[in-house]
Amino acid sequence: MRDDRAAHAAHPDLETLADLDAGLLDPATADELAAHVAGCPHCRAATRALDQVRTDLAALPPPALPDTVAARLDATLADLGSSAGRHAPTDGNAPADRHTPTDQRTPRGPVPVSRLAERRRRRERLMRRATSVAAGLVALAIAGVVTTSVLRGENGSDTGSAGTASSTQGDERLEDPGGGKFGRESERQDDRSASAPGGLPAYDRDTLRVALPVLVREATTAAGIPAPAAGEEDDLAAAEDDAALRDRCAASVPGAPTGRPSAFRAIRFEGVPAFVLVYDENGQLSGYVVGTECGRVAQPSVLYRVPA
Amino acid sequence: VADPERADADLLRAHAAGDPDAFAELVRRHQQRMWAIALRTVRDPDEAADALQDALISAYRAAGSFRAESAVTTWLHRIVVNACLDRLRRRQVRATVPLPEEGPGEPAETRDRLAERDTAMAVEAALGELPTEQRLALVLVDIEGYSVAEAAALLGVAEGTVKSRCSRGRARLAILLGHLRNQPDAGAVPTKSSAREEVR
Repeated sequence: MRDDRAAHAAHPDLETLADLDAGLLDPATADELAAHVAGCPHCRAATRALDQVRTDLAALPPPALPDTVAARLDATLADLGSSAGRHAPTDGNAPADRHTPTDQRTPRGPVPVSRLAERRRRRERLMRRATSVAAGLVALAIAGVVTTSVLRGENGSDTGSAGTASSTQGDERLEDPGGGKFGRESERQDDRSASAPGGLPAYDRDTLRVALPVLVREATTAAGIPAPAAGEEDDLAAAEDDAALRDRCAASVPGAPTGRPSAFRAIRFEGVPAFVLVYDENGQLSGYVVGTECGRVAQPSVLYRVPA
Repeated sequence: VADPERADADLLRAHAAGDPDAFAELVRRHQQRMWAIALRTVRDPDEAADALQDALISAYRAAGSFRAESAVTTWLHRIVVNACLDRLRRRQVRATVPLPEEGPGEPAETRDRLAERDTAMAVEAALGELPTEQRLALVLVDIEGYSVAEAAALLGVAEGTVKSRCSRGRARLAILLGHLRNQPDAGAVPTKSSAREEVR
């Protein structure tokens, strides 16, 4: 043991050798240390270990881009492209709000970019509400007294401490200066429409996992619950009862089990309108949150997956 | 269909000028590396996908501000890194989710390939143990091949900061990956936080 300590005292530590390798030491210290390393088998071995780290890192294969993510990026590109006129690229020399006023342009099909911006903004705001809904959902699920009317009625009405805390956190997120470097102007322009609360049940990643049994139960005991929806959400709520759409959607979700899902619901997922498909395989529930284009396109975007 | 020979900067200029296909072509060229950076930074496939989408939207809208002082890839990677750091800050994602393994349907692997994959998985897992700043510096410098100066510009920090983060990260990885054990002579070299950090 004493020999070990003596040996340790005689050698620079690993971090110092790494600093030498990284060029962090002043020239005099670096020269002195390099001379030591050149004649010291222990320090040369440690230097080889550091070299091996670099070799390992350089040899790492790039992780493959999953098909689902590639499809999602394609969908985003398509969305951005189809609304290019409304949200032109920002010229760094031009005022950020130089976009052509939207009322001077003819709307072309869906308005994906503004919807994306809206989704992002709503996601931030509705996350707070989703947390409140989650608290209600969990309590109700545990008590075994979940009723559909309660599910709808709790949406956004919880003013308990959890919701308050979450709301504070949400406000902080919105003010995060790091999140506003690019392209926030158009989102601010869209803020006018944000005041309309969503009528679809809202979930996030944590609450959705807990709610899967509830969604299945709803599907088997009270299919087609009318949602207090408005506008776009009318269509989404109606789509829940469209068996052909459901089957087309289910067949197109990459990685989903074959066959009909146990539940097919329109929801808001982290503020984004979406469909969730819940599968029951021998009591093991899994969920797939997909874009609302599901059933209408060959490869829908998968927003989230709850594994069985 | 975009011309495959078109330079990245040309594509970006074309996009800023209204070419409807240019940006998509640019993204398709570079999405694999953008994904690699995002995934290795946030360590969660779902968060990485979200960050990449955020970055895509940011880059789409900020294209006009590109001034060709750096390569388009550097510019894109900076936006991806910013999107990742934003998500990490806002969501406080912890680096606890391992990178996904290869899916089913992969061809049978040779013993060498399995060993390589095991090594890669061990390195990825060890990377995940590092603080975000150290990991990101190593991702950019040692994995993506950026120079220290480029990485410093990309991250908006001093070159010495990048060097220091790389140095600390490499020293920690040497311990985590057991490379000191594999170099018997290196046992005499002390570490500031020796044996307790060593992984099984």
